Amino acid sequence: METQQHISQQYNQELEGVKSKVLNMGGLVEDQVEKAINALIEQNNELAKEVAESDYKINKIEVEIDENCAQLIAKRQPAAGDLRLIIAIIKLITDLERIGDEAEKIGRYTQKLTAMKDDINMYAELSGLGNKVVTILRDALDAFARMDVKQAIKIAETDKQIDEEFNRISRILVTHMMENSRNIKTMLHVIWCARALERIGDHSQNICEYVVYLVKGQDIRHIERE
Amino acid sequence: MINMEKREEFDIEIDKTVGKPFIDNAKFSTRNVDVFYGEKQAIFDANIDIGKNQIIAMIGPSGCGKSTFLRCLNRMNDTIQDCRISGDIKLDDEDVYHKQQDPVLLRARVGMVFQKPNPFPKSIYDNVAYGAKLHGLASSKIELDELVEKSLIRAGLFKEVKDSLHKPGTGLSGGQQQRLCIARTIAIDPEVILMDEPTSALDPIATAVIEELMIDLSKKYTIAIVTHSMQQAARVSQRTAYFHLGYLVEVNDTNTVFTNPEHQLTENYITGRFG
Repeated sequence: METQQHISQQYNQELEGVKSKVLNMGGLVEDQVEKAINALIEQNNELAKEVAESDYKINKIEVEIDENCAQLIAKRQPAAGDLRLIIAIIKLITDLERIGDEAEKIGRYTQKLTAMKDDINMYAELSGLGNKVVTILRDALDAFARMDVKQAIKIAETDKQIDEEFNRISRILVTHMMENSRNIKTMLHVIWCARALERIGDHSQNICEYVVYLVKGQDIRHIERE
Repeated sequence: MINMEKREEFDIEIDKTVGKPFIDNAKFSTRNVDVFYGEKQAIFDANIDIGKNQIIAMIGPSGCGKSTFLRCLNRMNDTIQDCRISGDIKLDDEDVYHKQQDPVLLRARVGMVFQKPNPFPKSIYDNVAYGAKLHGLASSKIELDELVEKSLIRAGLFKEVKDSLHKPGTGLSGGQQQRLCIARTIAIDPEVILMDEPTSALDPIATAVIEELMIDLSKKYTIAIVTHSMQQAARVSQRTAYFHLGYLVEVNDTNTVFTNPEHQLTENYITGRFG
């Protein structure tokens, strides 16, 4: 897409700087999500605590990137591809920040779950969903880094699988609740975690949509893809 | 004829104008327009419609031919020796370059405002009345007074000069002078106003006033503006045409040009990748 450099070297550097900050933020978020899932599945209280307490780092970068983007708009009046890049970034970091929040949530629920010490057999079920979520997030960020539209569209499609997996797990959890009402509190925590994972999938899908907008200038949100 | 050698200069190929160069309800339409200055070709096969009551902005780096093209529309290039024009330029289906077309009458229909405000060394009143007198548009002094007042009001200048109508026009500020030139242009009730970088000599406030005026005037007139300010093109125009080395690369809705241009050269220019 960007075959040529700007006449203004400074402008190039500013845009590149923001882009690399976004990738950096993406890396941090990915890391948080992986840790959160591991903590949940392994019922690792310490790791869960670490995740729950590290979200502030992501929030800090989000604020920083927002500020950078506002300055770029004010000073450079970006147009066309540059404008779309900045708009995509502003939206994308909001989704990244929300993913960070979801990871934090998983961390906090995991802390509660480990405190309950219920011997339930659900965590293995969640690992399948967890793997899918980590993959979609990583691939979405990868598509952004490489500005790969084809890949982005393909990845966005896989969110359906995550939704199906979430529905399947929900059904199992509801069955557990019905079987034994003493399970309800635990199962609710687990379902919140599954829900958080499912939301991460949705946010990753959004990221893919921004990549399409960024490269093609087409807004594919809220339309059925053929 | 298209000069193929010239086209090889591009890294990126220009096959034909991309976007939407043709529209319904065209005031001007040009087909296969080539312009030469002596041996040198300045415009290559320009095909474009200019919509009625619209503002079209022509942008592009220096020497791309946008001003040359604009000046073809009211035959301002006639005054330049060894400037040769071929192709069709039609104003309301009337051939602008027809033998029987009187360039003076044509320029009354297609007025022009230039980069540097150029009021006549006369009073403000006479500046506006000059063209009307020449074309016999007023039959009495009262009618002429009315016409001058109306034109100054339309150009958004009347309030500022109503007590000094008989002072020299050259005594006004740059922005006021430019609005005086616009008043002078609209006094003879043209159909089209061509503007060649009308605000490049003005400060941002005076520029904003002129831009506001242009949008207001476009309700009655068709306006074509050449500008070096891309933001200006984005602000005032409905359609934008991008010229590059004499080629009309892209014509599109302004919204499209500035958010998602079709041609790579347009993208490069408006994002500041070459100048």
